[in-house]
Parts: sequence; structure tokens; C-alpha cells
Amino acid sequence: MNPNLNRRHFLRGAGALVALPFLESLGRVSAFAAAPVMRPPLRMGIFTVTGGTVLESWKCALAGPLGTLPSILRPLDFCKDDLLILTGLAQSGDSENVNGHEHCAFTHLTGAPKVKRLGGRASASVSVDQAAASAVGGDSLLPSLELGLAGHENVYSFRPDGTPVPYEDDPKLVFDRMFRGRQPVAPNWARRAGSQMQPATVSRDSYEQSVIDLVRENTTALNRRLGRADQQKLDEYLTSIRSVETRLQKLQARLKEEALDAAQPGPSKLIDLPLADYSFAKLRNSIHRDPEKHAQYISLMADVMILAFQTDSTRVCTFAAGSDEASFPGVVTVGYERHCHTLEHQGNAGRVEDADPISREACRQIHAWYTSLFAEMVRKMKTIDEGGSTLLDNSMLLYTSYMADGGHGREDYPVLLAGNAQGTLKTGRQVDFQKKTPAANLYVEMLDRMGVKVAEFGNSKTGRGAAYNGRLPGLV
Amino acid sequence: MPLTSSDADNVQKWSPIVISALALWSAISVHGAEPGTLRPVLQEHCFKCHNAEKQKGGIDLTTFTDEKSVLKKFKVWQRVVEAVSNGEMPPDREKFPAPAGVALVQDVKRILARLDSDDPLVIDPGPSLVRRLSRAEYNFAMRDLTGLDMDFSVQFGMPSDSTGSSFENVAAALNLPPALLEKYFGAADLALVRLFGEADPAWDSKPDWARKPNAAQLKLARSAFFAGLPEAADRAASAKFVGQFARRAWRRTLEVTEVERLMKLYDAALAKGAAPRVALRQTLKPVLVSPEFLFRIELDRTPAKPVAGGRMAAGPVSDLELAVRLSFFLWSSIPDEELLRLAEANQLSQPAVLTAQVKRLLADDRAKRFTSGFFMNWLAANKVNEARPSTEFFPVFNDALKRAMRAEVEAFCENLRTEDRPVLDLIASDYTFVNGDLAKLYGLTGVTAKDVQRVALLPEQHRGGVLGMGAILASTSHTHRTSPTQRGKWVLEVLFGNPPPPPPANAGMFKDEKRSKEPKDFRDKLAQHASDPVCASCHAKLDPLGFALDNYNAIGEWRATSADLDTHGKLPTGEQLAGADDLRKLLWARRDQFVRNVIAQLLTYALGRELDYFDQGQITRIRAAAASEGDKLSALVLGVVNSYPFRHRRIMDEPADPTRKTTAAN
Repeated sequence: MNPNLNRRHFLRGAGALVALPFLESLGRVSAFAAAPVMRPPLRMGIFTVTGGTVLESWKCALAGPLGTLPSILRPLDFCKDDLLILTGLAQSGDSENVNGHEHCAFTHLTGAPKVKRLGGRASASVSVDQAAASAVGGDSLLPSLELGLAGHENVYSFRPDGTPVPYEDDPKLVFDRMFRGRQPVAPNWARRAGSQMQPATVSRDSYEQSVIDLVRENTTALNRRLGRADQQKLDEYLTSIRSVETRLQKLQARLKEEALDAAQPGPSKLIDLPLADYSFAKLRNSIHRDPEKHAQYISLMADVMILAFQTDSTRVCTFAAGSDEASFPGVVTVGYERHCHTLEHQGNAGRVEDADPISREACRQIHAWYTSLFAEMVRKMKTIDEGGSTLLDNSMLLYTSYMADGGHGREDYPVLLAGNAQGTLKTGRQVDFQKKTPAANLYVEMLDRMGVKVAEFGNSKTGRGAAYNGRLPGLV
Repeated sequence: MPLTSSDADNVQKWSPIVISALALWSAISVHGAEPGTLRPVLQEHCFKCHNAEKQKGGIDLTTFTDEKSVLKKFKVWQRVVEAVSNGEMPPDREKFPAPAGVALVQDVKRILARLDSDDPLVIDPGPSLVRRLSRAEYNFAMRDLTGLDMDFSVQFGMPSDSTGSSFENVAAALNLPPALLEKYFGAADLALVRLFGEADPAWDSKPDWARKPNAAQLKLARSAFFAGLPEAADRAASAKFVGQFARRAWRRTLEVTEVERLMKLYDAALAKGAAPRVALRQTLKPVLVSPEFLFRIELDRTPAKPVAGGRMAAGPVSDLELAVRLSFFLWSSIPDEELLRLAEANQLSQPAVLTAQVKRLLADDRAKRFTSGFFMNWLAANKVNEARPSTEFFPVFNDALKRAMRAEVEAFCENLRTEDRPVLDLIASDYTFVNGDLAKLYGLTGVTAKDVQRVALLPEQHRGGVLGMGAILASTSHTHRTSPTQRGKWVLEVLFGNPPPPPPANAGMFKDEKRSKEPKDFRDKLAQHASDPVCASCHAKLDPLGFALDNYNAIGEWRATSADLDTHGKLPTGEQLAGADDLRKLLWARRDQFVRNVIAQLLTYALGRELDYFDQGQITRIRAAAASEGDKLSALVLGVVNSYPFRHRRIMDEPADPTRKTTAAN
């Protein structure tokens, strides 16, 4: 029988409407191990905004149970019990050959002791999202997702080898990466937990596999004829080929489970992405100067993150929200300046008293605006039932910024966790840590909850304010 | 732009930061002090602050060991010469005997002079690493290969390459993360499916997601693509077709065994019952996701001769490698058939053939990509898209006007290319390109069209050259006012290749409490802000240049100097500027440094790497050759193509020298 026919039948059964050009045929099969499922997995989401924050309007005066939230966080009032505010965290890594924004950006999620540009390429130690992805990413379709308008100066994610990870700026393309040729399906976690999971089967002689085998053979032969430095470049290619291959195999294994979930759906109702009429190419320039379009973009990307978690397309997702280059007419209602980067500098100084108060108020307005969009995302995640627990319960969302303040400050970052990470975080509180505690300590805690046990991360034990033996006590 | 005094005179007057290496070299005294005297002087007067730990001003002079260590950090040592010559350093002059200063300056100058010599120490083509195609290069290579009029990078959201430089093609910065390779797979699928005319449900079911191809264009692309392939192609004809396709994509002729390896896919597809056309399509895909397409690879060769003293062995690039370097430099893409044929016949490196080919490539339409890849990025003209001035304060500054501003720069640079104009037109021209909107903004009459067109300019219209262009002026302004500092920075960084160091991390911006400031207040504020000694040394160089440009408002409209608009300034070296027209005259006086910077930028773009100390002499050589051709663009491009690093490559592995890994020149 024509393998194509088989596949069409199969996909129709899976509820898919379109064919899969990425999988030319499903041929001979072999085993592909999938981890047994007991409950919905824990997801790690990072929602990081630009421009630091205005700390006096961000953190509570006192540690302990949350009372009235400070003005920037007030949009989150409805889910106060799900929040954990952490203060005192800082970055102290050094930099070489980078500007103030790059210094903050490269250290942000890495806590790297030193960041730099090497021959033009951003370089830092592994970032928390990528460290989590390399440990738990194997269980989902994509090890991790990186979304938003990052890039150039704002490089946040670094692979274990220190190379930067690109961010996807077009929500449609992210959707396509997750669901090309299929329909999104939310796993029925109860069914999966109850059923005896069969080892999934994947084909080793599909067309795509032959293409991969062929180019790999080609590359290996080529590599033998190159010098050492050049070999590194092609090694990177080989690593990427391996990752494409893994994805291909996982996709095959996944189709079967998705067909079963589609036939016996769980309670998790798929979030609706209004993507049909959205054109990022057309809007990309206006995002920067029209807060309405900007808000729409952030909401859409936040929805993409929710959908990615909900469908178990990935368990690790970082969203770089906002832009220092954006203007905020309408959001900023004081003074005459609207340009975020200008306001950040004017609104900050060595001492807060020396900063321009009007610009500082403008920054406060911008950050309250960011929070309202983050709050919208939390609200949606709180309504998604995964079978006795919500998507928010099964998540650990970090809401932060790549700078502590708009003046490239790196002390006392805005740090908030939303979701109790399946009961591993005691929320509804603010916890104060001593000044200059490395932010990397938080990353150790987050990785720990993702099942990655590391003794240290970045400068967690070596940073200038190293404390608490590289951990954050009292989070649970 | 008449200027009576010679360049050498002006060097003495000009702000030290724009003194280029050439100016220094031309003034070099050959009578250096006794060798070996340098270290004690440095030790006594400099190391206390400029050591590895303190690094005052970001400068560590303790790296000084021998002459090579000076050459490697030549920019630092040029600053040493400046700072000691003009009395800036060392801070406690009374303890610093004048003869020690003279000796130090002469010693360093003597060493730096070697940059321009034929000294073996400075003959090195530099690293030529395997590099991934940049986003633009991938896009153009796919278009040239398939004939499809598609923007693959937009369609698949390929990330822009963050290189920390103006140009996207910096080799070392181009990595290949898994997400990108996935996109290459997707793009290969889409391109082939389109060419083979098969339905692709994943794409076609979402008509709004992927731009529908233009039917007529698609037909043209298909007929060109399949030319020479018989309708009912047998295996032999198909193999020939695959070999030809791979030859263009991989920029080399494939061995029969290599073609056969690809044809295994063809055979496998037929065995599974696929139609021959489908089998052929499947055979082409690996060509498009192979590293031989996605990377530029120059295969290593054994060194021709033993190498002594850690020096790099170098040899000329092959004709085929030259063809690839050339086509990526001028077309951002793979060579065409003519280039490939000449290279395969080993004729391309013949001087007359090469010159003719450079001129052919430059004149070809595909060299528009050189304008966008080189000129637009170097001049930072694309930034006008994100320019800050808002319609709240400048109602005419809408998207259409921004597009026109960008189009002006593009048309101007395209004119340099197609008319082969001297690059000096960029700093002084009696023409520019405007449409109706832009003409109105500039106060020019007689143009109403929507597209930009060439107009002649008179001096009293205060335009001509990039300094009068809205794209530059608007993208260096704030929401509601100009930024003299940013404009000054643009002049130094872009026109002269001398960016000031970034402001200290704690630098504040001044308060902004009033809607429209009197220029005097603004000046006072800036002066007050810049009075902090940490800030002053840079602002003193930047702000006068920017104040001179205050004759143009935040979106580039001309406004005359008046009681309310003070455009006067004084550079640290004493020159007085009364406004934008004076600044133009100064640029013209500094034209030699400007042309040297254009060459440095061209060389950076052509080589795909930051320049190093051993490249400095090349700039001088190219400059000399181009000067005799009136600094026409083609002369500069030919100079780059004929330069040592463009024509040679290192032919051995890099030795284990950790200092090599970082940019030696900073």
C-alpha cells in the first residue's frame, strides 16, 4: 500500500486536517521510549520585561503575607495567593566588550560570572531555561521555546556551550513550529496516567531520516578535511541535525498519544489563538510606537506560551516581553517624553532622589502596564483545568526584568514567582533576602523544582554577594 | 569645497579622536629613542593606574611585552600617543620629565609605523573560518538557486544575526542553533514543493500564513529551473540534473560518487512507488540542508612550507574560493554560471579577467544587495524605521515620510554604485534623491512624485551628502528634540570609524521638565551634565559636532541659526564651528580619514570579520591605489578584492595561542 495513504488515514484519525510534509512516510518502526506519566508535568515559564522597574512601586514594604500590593503589581491582586515576591537578588558578573544593556541582558538568566562578545558573538554561561530544557526537554516535543522581541543587545538565553539561542518573534511561526501539519491537542493527563503506556514506535527508514543520514554522512566526511576551529562549526551543525532527528522521532511517537487524547479528551480546554488575521510582518514596526498593537502582541505571545504548555509542546518557555525602544503614548500620561529608553535613563540616577520624578512616574506607568498583561496570562492559566489542578498550579512562572532598574542597575531585581510549582513554593508572601544575594541562587531553586539537581549555577556560590550557600531558603 | 590648508596641517587642529592611523604614520619620526627605554617609562608613570587590575579608562598597559604586543593593541597605543602628546596623560605632569614623554611617544610611533610596512610581522590574511550564510545571504542564495521570488527568512522567521557590529556577516557570530536548522528544512520543503508544482496542504491550507506566489513569476522560475531536463527524464538525465543543481548550490563540481550518494534517495523513492518527479524532488532536498550549502567552507590544505616562530602560513585562495568570496561580497549570494566557469577554468585570478568580473558584478542588478548589505548597514540608515520623533510633536513624520527618507539614502548609494561615483559624494554632493514629501520637508521645489528622484542642489539649500539626509538626522534624535550627543556620535562612529567609548553605567540623562526648551537652557543643561570629568572628555568631542547639526530639527528640517538657535561650538582642538555648513567643510578637510574609514568598512564587510592590526597596512595600500582613480567606488572595491587578505588564507590550524581568540585590536 502507498505509505502516503496510510499516513493520511492515520492523521484523519488523529483529528488532523492537513498532511505532514515533514514526515514523508511512516515506514518500518522501532521503539522510542517515552516516560510514564503520573500527573501533569511541571512547567517553567519566564516572562521578562525590558527596562528594569521602579522598585519602590514594585515590592512591599514588609516581608510576609501579601497585603495591598504595590501599584505596579496591583493588576495581580486577584491571584495574590498564587504569588511569591522575592527581594534582594542581584547580578554581579563582569563583562568585556559589551555595553550596559548587553551586560545586563547576558547575565540576566545566566548569572554568569563573566559575559562578553567574542568576535561579535554574545557569550555567557548556560541560562536557566536552557539548563532546564537540556534536562527535562526530552519529554516534550520541543525542549524549550524562546519568544519575543529579543536579539541584538537583548540576548537572554545561552546554550550549555555558551552560544546564544535565537528568539522567535512571529507568533504564527511559533504556532507552526509546534503544530505544523497537525491540530493542537491537549493531553488528557488522567487517561495517560491510567493507561499502560505502550513504548511508542518510530520509523527509522522514513524519507526524512534518509535525508538526515545522508547529510550527516556528508558532514562527517567533510569534517575530516578541516582544521580544528572549522570543525567546531560543523560540530554545531551535527548537534542541530541530531536535534531535528530527535524531534522527528518524537513527533511520530506523539501522534499516537494525541489520537487517543483527541478521542477521549480531558478537561483542559484549548486556549483560542486569534492568529488567522494576524500579520506580524505588517505590525512589527507599529508595535514599537503603538501601545495598543504592542499589548495585542504581548497577549498573543503569552497565549502561545499557554498553548505550548497546555499541549505539552514544551515545558520550558521564555518570553522576552516589551522593548526598550518602544514608545508609550497613552500609557505614559505625564511629562512629554514617551520613549521608554529615554525615560529609563532620566528616571534613574545613582540616588533615587536625583532622578527626574516625572520620568520615574512614567516608568512606573509602563511597568504597571506590563504587569496588567502578565496578569491576563496568569488569569487564563488559572482557569485551565488539567484534571483536579490548574495549569497555573502545575507551573512556575517567573516575572522579572533583565535589569534591576532603567539605569542598567543590577541590584535588587524585580522578582516574582506565580504558581506554586505543584506545591513546591509557598505562595502569598514576600520573602526578603539579604542585599546582593546572587539571582543565580533563584535559578538553582527553579532548576531543583524542575528536577535538575545542581550544586551551583552561574555565580551562585562565587558572586560578590554570595549567600545562603547558593540557595534561597524558606521558599516552601 | 575649497580648502587651502593641507591635510597635515588640519591633523594638528582636529579632535584627536579622529586622527586616523594614517595621520599618525605620516607624522612619524624615524628617530625613536633607544630601544628598551619604553618599559621603564611605562613602569614608572603608567602602570600604577593602567594595570590588569585597575584598568583606568579601560586601559591596561601592562600587556606590553614586545613590539608585537604594541601592534596587536594598536588602537590602545594610538590613544597613548594622543594622550601623552596633548598633555592629557600622565595626570601628574610635574613628575613626568618632558624628555620622557618625547621618548615614549617616539618609541611607540616607531613601532606603530611597522603596521604600514612589509614587515613579516604584519603580513597575515587573518582567520577565514567556516561560516554559516547570514540571514540575507541564505535568502539571496535560495532565490538565485530556485528563481523563486520569495523571502524565505521572513516566511520562516529566521532570526536576525546578532553580531555586535553594523554588518550581519561577521563569521564568528554566525552560529547554527537547532531551531534555525529546522527552518532550513522547512524552507527547503517549501521551495521544492513550489517548484515542482505539488500541492502542499500544510502551506496551502493557510493562505494567509504564507504569501501566495505570483503565478506568472512562478511559471518563469519553473521554466528556468527545469530547463534542460527532459519531460520524461530517465535516471541518467535525472542524475545529471541533480549534479548540476548541487554544483551551483555547493559552488563546486561534484564527484560521480557524490551524485550517486544523492541518487540513492531517488532510487528509494521509485522503489516505494513514487512518481519520477517526486523522486527527483526528494533527491534535491538534502542539497539544500547540507552544510555545503548552508556554510561557506574553504577546505584546509597542508602548509606549503614549514612555519617558523608561530607565524601563520598563508597561501592564495583557489579560483573557486575567489569566485565565492567575490559573489558573496557583491551579491550576498552564490556565484552565477559565468563566475563558476571562469573559476573552474582557473582564469578568474588573472588580473584582467578579475577586474572585468568585479565590474560586471557591481553593475549587475544583484549588486543592489551590496547597497543594502553594505551601505545601508554601515550608515545605520535602516534605523529611521524606528526613529523616535513622534507624530505627537512632528505631525508630518509618518511612515510614508520615513520610507522616503530611507529611499533617499538607498537611491543615493545605488547611484554611487551604478554611476561609479567617488565615495566622497557621501560627504559632499550637489545632488540628492527626494520625493514630493521629502522635497517639501527639505524646502525644495519642483518635485511632487511619490518615488524619490534625483534633484540638483545649491549650496544655499544646505543639503548634499549624508549629513543633510532625514534618515540620519531623525534616527539620531529624541521624541521631541534633537540629540547633539547622538548626532556627534554618529559622525565619529559612522563617518570616521571612531566610536567613543560607551557612557559609564551610572551616567544619567538630564531632567526633562519643559515642553520646549530655549536652546540656551538646553545647552546649559548639557554643559552642566557634561561637566562631570568622567563625561567631559567624550562630550567635548561629540557635542560641538552635534550642535553644529542643530540647524536641522529632530526630523531634519532646516532652521537658520538665530538668537533662539545657537549652533556654535568649539572642538577640543580649537576649531570653531558656526553650524552645519561649517561641519561640512570640516568633513571635506578630513576627507582622507573618511575614505580610509570607507575602505576599512568595506574590508570588514568583504572579509566578514573585524579588522586586526595586520589589516591596517592594507587600508593604506588600497587608499593609495584608489586615490589615483579619484576614489571611485569601483576603485575601492577593486582595491579590496585585490588586497592580500581577500586573496589569501591561512592554510594551517591555528596554534594554541589564547590571545588569538579575542579581538587583538581594541
